[in-house]
Amino acid sequence: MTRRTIKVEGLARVEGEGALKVVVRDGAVETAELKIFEPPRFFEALLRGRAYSEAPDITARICGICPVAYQMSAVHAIENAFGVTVTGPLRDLRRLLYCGEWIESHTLHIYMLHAPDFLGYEGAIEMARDHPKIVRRGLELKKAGNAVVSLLGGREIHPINVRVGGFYRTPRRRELQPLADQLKWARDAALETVQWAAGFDFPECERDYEFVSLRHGDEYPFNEGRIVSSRGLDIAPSQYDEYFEETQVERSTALHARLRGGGPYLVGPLARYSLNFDRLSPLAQGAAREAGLGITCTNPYRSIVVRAVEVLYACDEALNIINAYEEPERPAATVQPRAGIGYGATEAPRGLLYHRYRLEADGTIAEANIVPPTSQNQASIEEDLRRFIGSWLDLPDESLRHRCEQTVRNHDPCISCATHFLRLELDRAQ
Amino acid sequence: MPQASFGLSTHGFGLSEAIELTRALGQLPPCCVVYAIEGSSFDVGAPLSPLVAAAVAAVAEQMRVEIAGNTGPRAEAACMKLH
Repeated sequence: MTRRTIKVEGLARVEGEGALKVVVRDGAVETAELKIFEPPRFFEALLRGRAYSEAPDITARICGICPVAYQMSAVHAIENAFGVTVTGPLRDLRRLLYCGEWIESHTLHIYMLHAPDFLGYEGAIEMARDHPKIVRRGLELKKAGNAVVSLLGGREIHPINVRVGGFYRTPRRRELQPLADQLKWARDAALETVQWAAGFDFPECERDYEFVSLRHGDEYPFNEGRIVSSRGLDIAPSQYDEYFEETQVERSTALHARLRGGGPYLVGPLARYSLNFDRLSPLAQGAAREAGLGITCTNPYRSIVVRAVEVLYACDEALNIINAYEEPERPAATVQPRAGIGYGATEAPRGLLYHRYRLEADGTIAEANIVPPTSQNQASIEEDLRRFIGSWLDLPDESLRHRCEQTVRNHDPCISCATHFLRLELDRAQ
Repeated sequence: MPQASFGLSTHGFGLSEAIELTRALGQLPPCCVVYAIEGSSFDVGAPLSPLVAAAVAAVAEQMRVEIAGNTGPRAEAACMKLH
C-alpha cells in the first residue's frame, strides 16, 4: 500500500479560516475532508430575546461581503410571520440593493480570489503587477456595486437602512441618476469580464450535481421564489425543514446540510444559472452563449464565467429598476407584530440562504435558525475533491495542492458565514 | 511593506496589502507616510486608554509639524516611513 501526504498550511483566497485534508491510498483518493475550525459564532443565540426590528442589523453583521443577503432573508422571514407583503417600489428597491451586493461580492471573487488561479499568480497583488488595467477594471466594477449598496443601505458594508417592511429612508429619483451613469459603465465592464473569464483554460470536469435554488415566476431569483432542484424538488421556503436536514460532523464547526433521504446538493451561481437560465435578461443570455456556456453549467471550474454573467445581469437589472423607479409614498409598509413562525429564503451571492424565526406576540424573537450557503455546500465541495483529484495524482505535490485549493475556491466558500484560513493536508499514504 | 501578499484569507488583507496593491497598480503616491497608534486595551466596554489618548495628541502634533513645515519625508526621493 502506498500513501502520499501533502499539507497546505494555508488555503488562500477564501473568506475565513479552515483546513483541508486529502488522503490518497494506492493511487486513489480515499477521503477528502473540509475542516472548519473557526469557533461557532452563535448568531442564532444572539438573536433570541431581541426585538424583531433588530434582526436586519444583527444578521447583517454575520458577513462583511454578503450582509444584504442576511438582511433580506431576515426581513422576508419576519414579514412572513407577521403576514406582511412588501410590493411596488419598495420590493424593487430590495432587488436593486441585492444587485449591488452581487456586483460587490462576485467581482471580489472573480478578480481578487479566483482569477489568479487561472492566470498562474499567487494572488491579486502579483496579478496586478502584470495586469494593472484588468485589476483596476475589477476594482472599479466592484465600486459600482458598493455605490448601489451605499446609496440604498446607508454604507457599503453592513447597511443600516433596511427594516422589516421596507427601508428607513427611500431615495429620490434624482439621487439614482448618478448611479445609473456608473452602472452603464459597469454593465460594459461586466460584459468585458465575461469575455475575459471565458478565455481561461478550464479542466474538463463535469459533475452530476443536484442543484438547488430559488425559482420565481418571471424573475431571475433574488428575494423570492420556490425552492426547486434539478431533480424535481419544488417546495415553498416554509417547507425547507421538512426536506433538508443539518447534521454535525466532527471536522467542522459549521453544520452540514443534506436533503433528507438524499445526499449532498449544490447551491450558488452554478445552481441558480442552471435552474433559471430562461429568467436571465437577453443581454446576459447572449453573453453566456458567446462565452461558450450552455443553458446549464456542471463544470465547477467554469463558475467564474457564471459569476461574471450574474454580475452582468445584476448591472442590467439594476438599470432597469432605476429607469422604472417611482418614489414610494412611504419608506416602509405597516408592520403589526404577532406570534408565529416565519420562513424566508433568498439568493445570497453564494446561494440559498434560509432563515426561520419564531416570534412572540410583541415581536420578540424566541428562536432563530439560519442556514448559510457555505454550510450547504460543504459536502459537495468534499465530493468535488474526491471525484476530481484522482486524475491529477501524477502532479507534483505543490501543483496538486494548488489544484485542491482551486477546487475549493470554485465555490467561493464563506467560512465565516458558515460558522475563517484554510489548511490543506494531503495524505498520499506513501 | 513586510508580509504584503494577498495569499491568505480575505481577513488577512490589511494595510500592507492595500499599499502593495496600490503600488502594483501604479497608483501609490511618491510619498506615503503611515501613522499608526498601537492599541493597548481591548477589554469589552473599556474607554479609550490613557496611553492611547496621550499618543493621539503626540501623533496629531507630529503630523501637523510635518505637513506645515514640510520637513518630513517629502525631502526624500522615495519614501516609506512608518511612525
